[in-house]
Amino acid sequence: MFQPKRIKYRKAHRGRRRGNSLAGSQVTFGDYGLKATSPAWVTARQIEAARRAITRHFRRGGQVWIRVFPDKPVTSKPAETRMGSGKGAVDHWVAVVRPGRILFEVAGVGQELAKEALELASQKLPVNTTVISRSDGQAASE
Amino acid sequence: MDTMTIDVFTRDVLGKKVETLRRKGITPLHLYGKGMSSRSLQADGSTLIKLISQVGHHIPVYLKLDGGKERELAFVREIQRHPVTNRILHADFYRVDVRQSIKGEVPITLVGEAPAVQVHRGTLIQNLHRISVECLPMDMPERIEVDISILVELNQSLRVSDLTLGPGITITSDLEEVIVRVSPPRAELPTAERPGTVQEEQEKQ
Repeated sequence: MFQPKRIKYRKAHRGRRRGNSLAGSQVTFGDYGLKATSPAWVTARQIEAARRAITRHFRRGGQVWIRVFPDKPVTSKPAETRMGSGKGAVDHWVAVVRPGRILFEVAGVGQELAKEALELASQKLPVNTTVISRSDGQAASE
Repeated sequence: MDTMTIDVFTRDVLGKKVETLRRKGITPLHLYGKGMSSRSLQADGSTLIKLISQVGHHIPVYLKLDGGKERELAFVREIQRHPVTNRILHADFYRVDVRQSIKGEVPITLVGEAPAVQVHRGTLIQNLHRISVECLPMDMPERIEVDISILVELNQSLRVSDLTLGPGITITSDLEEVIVRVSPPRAELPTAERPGTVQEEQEKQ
C-alpha cells in the first residue's frame, strides 16, 4: 500500500474539502481516465483495491497510472479509551480528493475494456466518478 | 484545410460578472499578440466548442471582429475548462504574423498496425501525444502521422528523431523522446490470485 517514505510532521489537521480540484483534472498520460465528481478522503487501501481491480480485469497488457497519493495521516484513538490525553496514533493514510480530480488513467487497451475496468475500480472507491477519454475530455460513452 | 473564421465581439463585461455571459451561452475570450494590447472579446459558446475541436491549438483561425471587415489571424493559446464538467470557461487567442515563424504543438496520429502487438501480444503505449515544431503559421501541419508498422519486436520504440517532416518545419521537441513503444505483455495472473483476495487480505490485516 502507498504511504510516504518520510514526513515532516507526524500528524495533520483534518482540513476542509471545499471547492473543486485545482490540478490533475485532465487525462495526461493514458487514453482513458477515472474522474472523481464528489469529494472524499480516499484511503491507501481503497487505492490499492481499485488498482488491483483494473490490472486484474486487463489480465494482460495495458498500463495503469495512479494520479493520487495518500499523503495525509489519519489518527484514531484505541477502542474504549476516555477522551483527552492528546491526539491518537496514526491509523492510516488518505488522499484528499476533490471533484474533478483524475484518480486513475489507463492506456494500451480498447475503449470497452478500459471503461469496464475503470467502472470496477470505481466500485472500490468512496467517490462518485465518471470515465472520460483523452480526446476531448468528454465521457467515454459519448 | 481552409482557414476557419469565427465571429467575435468586443466584451464590456469584465471580471466576475462574466459568469452572467456564460449563463447566456457566451464564452469570454482574450486576444493578444506581439505589438498589440490585450483585447477582451466574447463569442458564441457552441460555435467556439466546434471550432476548438477542429483546430486545436495548432491550426490558425481568423477572428472576425464585431462583424466588420477587420479580422486577425490567431492560434488558440490556452483554454480554461471547468474541472468537473469540462465546459470551456475562457479561451485565449494569440495573434500571429503570417511572415514570422512560430512554435506550435502538433498532435501525433499513429497509422498502421504494429506486428509486435499482433504477433507477440505486446502492449502499444503512446508516450508522446503532441510534438513541438517551429514553422510559418500557414505551414503548420494538421497532424503528424507516425507509421507503427515498423514495430516488429517487443520493447521496440519510435523516437522523435525517427520522424521526417516537410520542408520549413523544424522539430523543437527533444529528439531522444520516445513517441511510442511496445511493452511486453504482463504474465497472466494465476487462478489462485484472481479477484476475491483483496477483501481477504484486508481482513487478515
